[in-house]
Formats: sequence, structure tokens, C-alpha cells
Amino acid sequence: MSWPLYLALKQLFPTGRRLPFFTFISLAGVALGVTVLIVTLSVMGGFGQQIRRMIVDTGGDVQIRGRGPISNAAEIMAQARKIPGVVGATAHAEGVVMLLSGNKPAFPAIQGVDLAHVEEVIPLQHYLRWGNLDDIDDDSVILSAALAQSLGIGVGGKVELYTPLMLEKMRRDEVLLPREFRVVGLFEIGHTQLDSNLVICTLRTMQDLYGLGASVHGVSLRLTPDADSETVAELLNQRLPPDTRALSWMDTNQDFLFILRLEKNMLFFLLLFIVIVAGFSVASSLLISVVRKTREIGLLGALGGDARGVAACFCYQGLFIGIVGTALGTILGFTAVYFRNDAVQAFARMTQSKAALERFYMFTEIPAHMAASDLLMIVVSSIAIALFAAVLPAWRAARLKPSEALRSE
Amino acid sequence: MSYPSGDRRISVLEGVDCTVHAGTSLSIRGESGCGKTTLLNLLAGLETPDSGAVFWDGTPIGGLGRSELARRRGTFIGLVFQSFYLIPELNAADNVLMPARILGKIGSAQRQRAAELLARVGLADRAHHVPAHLSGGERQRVAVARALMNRPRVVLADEPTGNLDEATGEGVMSVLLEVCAEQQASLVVVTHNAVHAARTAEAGFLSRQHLRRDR
Repeated sequence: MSWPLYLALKQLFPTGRRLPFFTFISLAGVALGVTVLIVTLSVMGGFGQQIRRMIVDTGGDVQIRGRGPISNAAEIMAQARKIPGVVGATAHAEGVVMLLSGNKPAFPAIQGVDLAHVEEVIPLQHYLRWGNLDDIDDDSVILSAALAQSLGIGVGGKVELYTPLMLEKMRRDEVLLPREFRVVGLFEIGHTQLDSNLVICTLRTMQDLYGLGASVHGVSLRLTPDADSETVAELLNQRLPPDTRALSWMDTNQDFLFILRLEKNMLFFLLLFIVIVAGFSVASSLLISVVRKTREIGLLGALGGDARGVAACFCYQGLFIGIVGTALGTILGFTAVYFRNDAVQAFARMTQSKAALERFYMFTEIPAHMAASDLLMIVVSSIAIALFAAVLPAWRAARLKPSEALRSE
Repeated sequence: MSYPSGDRRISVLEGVDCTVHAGTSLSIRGESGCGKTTLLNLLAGLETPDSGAVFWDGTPIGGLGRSELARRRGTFIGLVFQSFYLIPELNAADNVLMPARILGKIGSAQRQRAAELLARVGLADRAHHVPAHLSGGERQRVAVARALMNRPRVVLADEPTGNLDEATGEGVMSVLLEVCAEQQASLVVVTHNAVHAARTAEAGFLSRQHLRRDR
């Protein structure tokens, strides 16, 4: 072991003595910053992952859309299934309708799903809170739970639908008759917009309501977990007709994902300030150490140590505080993440706020996911900050002339 | 040799010619502030003279770079200070080993030598004690052992008994003279104590910036 490293370790952890206060405070500062970063980014990552899963669950990994209605959906689906990584394909049609329940109107989005293939791509059954997917037919619909609640309707109730196609009929002075549907199920995805404003019907019903004939508005694809949606979309675009275009779920939700990423990055930089403040504490403690140990620094020069060795001794102290503080913070952070739900439950019990949490935040369990790249960024930046904090004290120590340092009072 | 003081320079030593013969001991006395420590620092290569040169074993050290000078100092010179200057975080054995560690030579042979030196200065049973648990005399004996660790050709001791009572100082001086003689290291001692100065083979007196040899 080189003497600067040896001396740095001895100064941080002296022989036969308790952990020095400087070492404890410096390690605690870095560890605290890393803990907060890991907990926050894990929870952010968890929510992000849930949102991503929800996006993929409701829209598929890749969507194929046309400039207008797609008339050759079966052909496109067959072509898509040949692409490696594609495990499911389903066609859909979508639009907006006016919905009446009694005298209560609503203007939800409507999606017609192909019952034969929809479960290959969208786990609709999984999101059904009441009713069964097998019960849906061309005369029935499934409503989102919040929409049903606002209309005051439940499973077994009846709704009337008006479509834009009916406007055409009005122009031709035809009698305007709404279509009546039975409600056979209620679903809840966890996405406020979808849960409050969506109706699901069969593809045939939707084609009929919108006068699409055999055409559809799009095809959704499900991929294997290891497949890259961007690559599959690119491959499809090379093979599909020019009036159709494949888009990955990331392309279709670009703006939303950008906001998520921006929010996470902003939080990372704001919380990194805790580590930066800890870095200042390390720097000031090491500067005090340089002043306090001036004669020892002179002694090292007198014993044959060079300026680079003296500087390295202080840099190693910063580096070591960075490494150990980050390791402690990582352990503490992951421990806190592991017990996050117990902590929330305990907090909810203590403040009797379990119902409020469910109602306002729509969760009682906190998701968590730490991406390896995020962890690497936390580890590297924390260690770099602690090391950088030691540079100024190291430079000052290296500049001391041994003879002057030995004379200092 | 001069030091800056405000906008002028104060001359400390002038025309000093000091030769330290191999294997001998030399004491230097003088009034406070006459430049005794400056002379030792010049001999140790810790200060650079305004004019003239310092030779180690016949080689001028003036042209050496800082790192090279420090490295050579580590092998050629051993230093003992009035205030001991032991590293408080290290125990006695590790303090003695420090010069070897700085040279990058640390192994069982060096550990053995450190143990032998500590035994020679009468501290075999205090090897694992930190400086805070040692008396002043014990600390200075650790410093003597440390100065001899790299088998230096010259040991420079700056008032080694200055912080010790008479009896302890006497003991430290005896150890210093005996161990340096055994290790065949030349010894230069700066001291105010005429009794201690009388025990060295050669003696000098520093006065009015000049060194006068008495023996």
C-alpha cells in the first residue's frame, strides 16, 4: 500500500481510537445524500415503470396506423407476426361518441376491439373490475369505472350511443335513432383520463357505428419482453405499404415520456445538492485538517515524502469518504426502499390516513424500480463530488514548504 | 542565508563552512535566533541557500528537483525534532516504519528493523502504543528510532532534549549518541545544553552568522 493511501486510511480510522468526528460527519453527509437520491429515484422509477406498463398494456408495444382507415388489416397483421419478437397482433377502431344514460350525457372516447385477438396484446380481462370479457357482444359495451360512476350506471344498465355518422343522416333528413347497448363490465386501468372517459365495444360494433365496413383505424402489436420496440417499428416500416406507419410506444407517447424524464432529471439534480453540500463539509473539514496538521505535513516532507504524495494523501481521504459514504448510502437507500410500504402503512395507521391515501393518491403501496444507469449515475457523481471536495485542501497541503510547515505554530 | 522580512531581507548565516565527517558527532550551540535551526535545515536540504552549496556525500544537492531531493533526503538524512513530531494516528512501531513506507520499502525486514530499533531505544513493550499514551522522553526515543529507520548517513537533531526534563534529556541524549554510533551514522546536534554538547566528538558555536569550531 502506498504511503499516501496508508496515511489517509489511518487519518480517517486512527489506530486504537474511535471513529473521528470529521470522518463520521463526512460519511454521514455523503450517505444521507445518496440515500435520499436512491429512495427518490427508485420511487420515481417505480411510478414511471407503472405508467410505461400501463401505456403498453393499453396500446401495445408498437402501433400501426394508416393515413386513413386500413382496409387490409389481416394482411398487415400476418406480415407483422413474421417479424421476430412479435407475439401478438390485434386490430382496433377508435373514435368519439355521445353517450346518454337516462338524461345524463357524456362524450367519451370509444374503442372497438377484436375479441378474437385483443387478449394477445391488451390484458383487458386484467383491468375488468366488474363483469367478464366473454359477456361482451355486438349489443353491449364495457365502461370505464369513473365514467360509469359519473353517469350513475352499473353492470346490467343500458346506455344510448350517438356517433358522428348520425350527423350525416341528419343532413339527409333521416330519422336519428341512437344505438342502445347493455353495460356488461366496468374496467379500471389506473390512468385518470382513460378511467373517466373510455367505452369499449366490439370491433364489429365500432365498424358499424363509424361506417368503416371491414376497415380498421390501427393495429396494435405485443412484443416479447426482450424485444426492442424501436427496432421492430423500424423493420415494419421497411416492409409495410407507404400509406401505413409503425410507431413504437415511445414514439406515440414522446411528449409524456419527455415530461417524465425531465421531472426525474430535475429531481436528481436538486437532490444532488445534498451531496454537494456534504462535499463542502468534506472540503472545509479537510482544509481545517491541513491547517491543524501543518507540522505533520512538513514532517512528511522532511522524511522524504514529495508534494505529490502529500496531495494524494488528502485526495485519497476525499475518495475514501466518497466510496464508503456512497456504499453506506446505497445500503441505507435500498433498505429504505425495501421497507417503503411498511413505512407508508405505519404512517397511514399513525395518522389514520389510509383512506385519504387511497382516495387522493390512488395508492397504498409505493412502486419502486431502480435502473442500473440511475444507480451508476448516483454512485459516480457522489464519489466524484467527494473527490473533487478534497482537491483544494490537497493543493494547499502540497504547496506547503516542509521547512516553513515545521516552523508553523 | 537570508529570510524576507517586509520589504527587506534579514541575513541569518553568512560564509558558514560546516563539514560533518562520517561516523562522527558534532554539537552546535548558539544563542536563540542565531540560525542553528536554519543551518540544520540547510544541511537537510529543507532550505536553499542564497549562495554557496550543500554537498551530501560529496554530491551537490542544489541541482536536484523537489521530488528527487525529497527521495534522497529520505535515505541520506534522519531528522529528530525538539517537538518530536510523531504522527498521532500511528502507534510507535508504525511511526518508526514511516520513513521506510515513504520510500516504498515495507516488508518483514523493515518491520524487524523497526522492532529492533524500538528495542534498542528501550521501547520494545510500547511498540503498539500511540504517541498520546507515551511520555515526552518515550516519544523522543521513538523519534530517534524513526530517524535511523532508513540507515541514514547523517542524523540531524534539532534541540532533541529541549522539551524534556534534565534526567529524561540525559537519557535521550545517551540513546541518540550510542545508537548513531552503532548504526555508523554521523550526528549533528543543535543544543543549548553545554553538558550535552560536551559529549559529542566535535563541537561548534554559532555566533554573529558565523560558525566557530571549538573542537
